[in-house]
Amino acid sequence: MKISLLVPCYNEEKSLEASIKSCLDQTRPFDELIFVNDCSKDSSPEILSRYSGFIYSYRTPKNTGNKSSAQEYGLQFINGDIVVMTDADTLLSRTFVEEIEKSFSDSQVVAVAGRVQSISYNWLTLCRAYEYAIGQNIHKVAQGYINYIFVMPGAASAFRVDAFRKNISFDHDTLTEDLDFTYKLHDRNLKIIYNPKAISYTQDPADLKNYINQLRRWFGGGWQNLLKHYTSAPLNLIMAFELSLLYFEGLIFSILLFLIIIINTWMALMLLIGYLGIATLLGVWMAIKEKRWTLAIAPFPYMILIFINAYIYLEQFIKEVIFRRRNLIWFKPERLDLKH
Amino acid sequence: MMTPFIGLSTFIHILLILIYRLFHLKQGSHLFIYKHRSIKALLGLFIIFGMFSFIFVSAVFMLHASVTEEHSSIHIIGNYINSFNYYES
Repeated sequence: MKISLLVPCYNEEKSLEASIKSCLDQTRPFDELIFVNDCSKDSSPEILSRYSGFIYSYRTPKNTGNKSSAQEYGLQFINGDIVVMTDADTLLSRTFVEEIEKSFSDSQVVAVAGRVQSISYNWLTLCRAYEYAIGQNIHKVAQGYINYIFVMPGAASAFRVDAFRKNISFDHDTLTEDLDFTYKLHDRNLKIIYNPKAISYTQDPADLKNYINQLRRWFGGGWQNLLKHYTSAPLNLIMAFELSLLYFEGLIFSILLFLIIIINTWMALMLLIGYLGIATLLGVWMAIKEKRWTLAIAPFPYMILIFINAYIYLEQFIKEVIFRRRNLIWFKPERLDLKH
Repeated sequence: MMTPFIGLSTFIHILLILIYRLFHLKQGSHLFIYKHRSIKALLGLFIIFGMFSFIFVSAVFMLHASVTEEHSSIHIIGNYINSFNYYES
């Protein structure tokens, strides 16, 4: 089984070298490493050329402006049976390729979702780590049982190349291409599994401005994909269950969060204290499971973020669903220094 | 995550994990399989409607509790208006 790597990069000088090193330092090496330079203006091309003996790097004819176009460009150079897609701000665990290879030993498996962990910087990345922990230890495990992985993470996913070329087209019509890929695979009843041992460490926004912009892309892309694929839901019972649960909950409870504060501030405070208690119990559970003790205190700053999250969720619902103002402008968060 | 916060969906997913583990259901096996397209579509719509109703009723229940509770701003405004009526009478 030949395993290839595909990494698009644009102005990634702060994290690119560490990312390349982590891809090269594998217990089971990649058979082919392809980096697509999307006409970077910083020192990324020089970094790529330093590793020219180990990796292939290709430059797009002009800046494509988004990740999925750079991925589409790079896919034509892939010769492997499996392609691992990750980001240039992401580090792969040493056994990542080994784990991916194990997952594909089942011939029915077409795609594997890895586990994403947030690199620690501050309280904001701690909250993101908390969300990832809940999402991956609870939601993804349950979704694995019912055979409906909701989303293949952009920072850690792998596909069978022939199935990918046959079933997934790059439409460039949503902000979250990873979610679009996942819906397309589910539409064709192809098997996706989650491997919690294939770990990647990713940079998440460390300031509120970047955090809000990333949320706008994620939630906006989520609504765009729902509008694009919702017709498949009634014919796929598990999809109907997952989508209606996640989207109705997000929408109705986001409205409720603000409504209760206006109607009864005292009760809203009591409910938030109760919510903090439950979130802390989950935090302690996640801290034990992930052996990352700071997760136990993450629910305290997380109480502030739920208001921002709910606001952005409603804002994107109004923009994308009610007013149909489709935003396709890609947002790239500011990178921080990364060491392998 | 595609939800803005940890909520009901997390607990429903915990329940799903428990159901699959307690009853030793095979990973990837669906609880119900219907091959007929029209029955499947009807059941799909029923699930979507059921989910919406469940979440909506939970939200309405919380909203009702917040309106009727003694610290509700609606109560406070009502009491304030009533106090004027009382002095006038």
